[in-house]
Amino acid sequence: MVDDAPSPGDDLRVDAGQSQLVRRAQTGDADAFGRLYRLHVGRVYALCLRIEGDAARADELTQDVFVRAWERLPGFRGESAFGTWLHRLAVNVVLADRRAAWRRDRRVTLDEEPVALASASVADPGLTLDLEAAIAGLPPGARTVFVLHDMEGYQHAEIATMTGIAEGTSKAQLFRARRLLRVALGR
Amino acid sequence: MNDEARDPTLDPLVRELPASIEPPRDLWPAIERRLTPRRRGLPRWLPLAAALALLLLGGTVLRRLSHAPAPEPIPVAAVDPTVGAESALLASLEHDPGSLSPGTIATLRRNLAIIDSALAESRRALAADPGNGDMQALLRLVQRQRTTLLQQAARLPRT
Amino acid sequence: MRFLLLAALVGVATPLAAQRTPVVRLVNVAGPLVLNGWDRDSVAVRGAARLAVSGPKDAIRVDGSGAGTDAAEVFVPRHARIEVRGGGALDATGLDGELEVSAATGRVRVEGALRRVMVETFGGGAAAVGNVEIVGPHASVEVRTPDGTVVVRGVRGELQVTTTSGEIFVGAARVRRARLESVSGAVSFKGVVDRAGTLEAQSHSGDVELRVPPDVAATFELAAPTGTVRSEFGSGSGTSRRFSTGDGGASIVARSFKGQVSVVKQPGADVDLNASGATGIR
Repeated sequence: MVDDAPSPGDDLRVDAGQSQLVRRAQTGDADAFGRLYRLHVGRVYALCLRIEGDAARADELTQDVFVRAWERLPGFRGESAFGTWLHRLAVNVVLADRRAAWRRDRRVTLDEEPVALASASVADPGLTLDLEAAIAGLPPGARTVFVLHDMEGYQHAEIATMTGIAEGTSKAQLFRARRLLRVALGR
Repeated sequence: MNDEARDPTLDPLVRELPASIEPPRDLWPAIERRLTPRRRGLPRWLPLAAALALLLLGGTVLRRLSHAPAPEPIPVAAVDPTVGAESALLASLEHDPGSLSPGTIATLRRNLAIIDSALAESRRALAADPGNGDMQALLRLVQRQRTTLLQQAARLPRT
Repeated sequence: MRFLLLAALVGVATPLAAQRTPVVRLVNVAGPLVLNGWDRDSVAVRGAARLAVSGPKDAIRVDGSGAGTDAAEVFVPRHARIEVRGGGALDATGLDGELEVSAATGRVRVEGALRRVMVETFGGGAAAVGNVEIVGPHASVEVRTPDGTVVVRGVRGELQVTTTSGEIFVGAARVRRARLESVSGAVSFKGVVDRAGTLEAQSHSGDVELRVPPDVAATFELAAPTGTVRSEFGSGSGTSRRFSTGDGGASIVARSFKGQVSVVKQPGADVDLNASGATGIR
């Protein structure tokens, strides 16, 4: 998945801004953390929304991600970019929630209502809305693997570790997701 | 089934999707309420600041940090010539806040608080080192910003 | 053909006088506004908004009072002096005259090669990020905003940015005179200062970072009375340093009351590298 075209300031922010903000947030500066929130909330929310398929739950999980990040921030040593670290943390939070949900609802339904996701202004807004809606309409297990593999770039071995499913199951879920999406999009 | 390969049908569509989606509402207030206060870590400059503080407490004259000829010190207790005009501006904004949007009023209050805190810090530091040209320049910066902010608010269209 | 093309736009195509620089004033445009510079000496409006266009040929007035908050797209002569007063978000491209934006309360983005850009915003309230982005080889840029992030890339001349709690990021700059001031936000400058030029970057509590070419010839004044100073130029230590490099032609001042002041050697500082995926997750 290609990132949004970076705004003219993105690289400048990375050059100077984020390391300063992270340093200040680590010492307890909530305003600095608020700025980090503004820079990264879009990506975190997108991940939560696409895996959860539920806007209200995505709201709550996004909040949980940033609260957890605040708690864990003193341990961030800068070995990776802050965005990368935050994203991994977000994946862990969302998957922990998914695992809990799966334990509660042992029967996976195929009839979940697709969620109306925020539209993006791209060349063909109609087509992307179809795809977002189709992803939201996937069964939870297939949706999780599709988002992690085809959208976020994780490999099956990593997905298996993060979700607690077998690698073979991850591959099967991806196959199922892609087939269902092609059908939903009429392709 | 080669599932590690990209799906040629879906992949181009997936690439068009936005990497980020802004939440429909601002989640920050709820997040901020849940942040547990953290005792600020020790910044790297603390040892130097601690040393300076000890010197101040001891009443010792600080080693002059600036190598350039010291400019005429600004008496810390001097009346800020902009205060009168700023007070009038602030009074007019506060007397008639209803014509400014709540967002604008919140922005104004929030930023004035930041400025006033910075002014207090600067003045305290200058009181201990009145000849410090760099501190004087930084104080002027904050004073300028206060004036700019109030003048900007006064220029906003009122409903 | 040109008339038919103009007529296809919903709104008025109003010709302007060609003898001197035309002025176009946009007022009360509450919704998002897109300003496009074009090569015609006329003003046209497109969009759902009904903007009232009036005025003599050298001073067109575009009034959005009756247009609600619908988005509007306005085409203006690229060389005109454009004044936008009030309003929400603004996106201006293709202009090379003058642009003055005052009392805006939304995001402002300007891309082009203007002789002069002045943007004064008052943010968008607690839920909005009051960003200002100015991109392109403008000769003179001035931005005043209480908060949010100000990004200026590619300026070629004079630059002044003042903010209270906002952050300032300047990149790919070549300045004759630049003054960057924030009270609590960080200030970052990457670029070249002309020989005999001046750069002043100051913040009360934010960090100040300068990235300038390794062969810069300047007199530096770096100070952080209760912060730290780190510099790849000059020698010495302490929270106040003054030194010269080369023939010391330019003047570079960086101060922070309690943040970190740092000066870094950056080859090609005035080149727009336009790095991609900088905040990408993968």
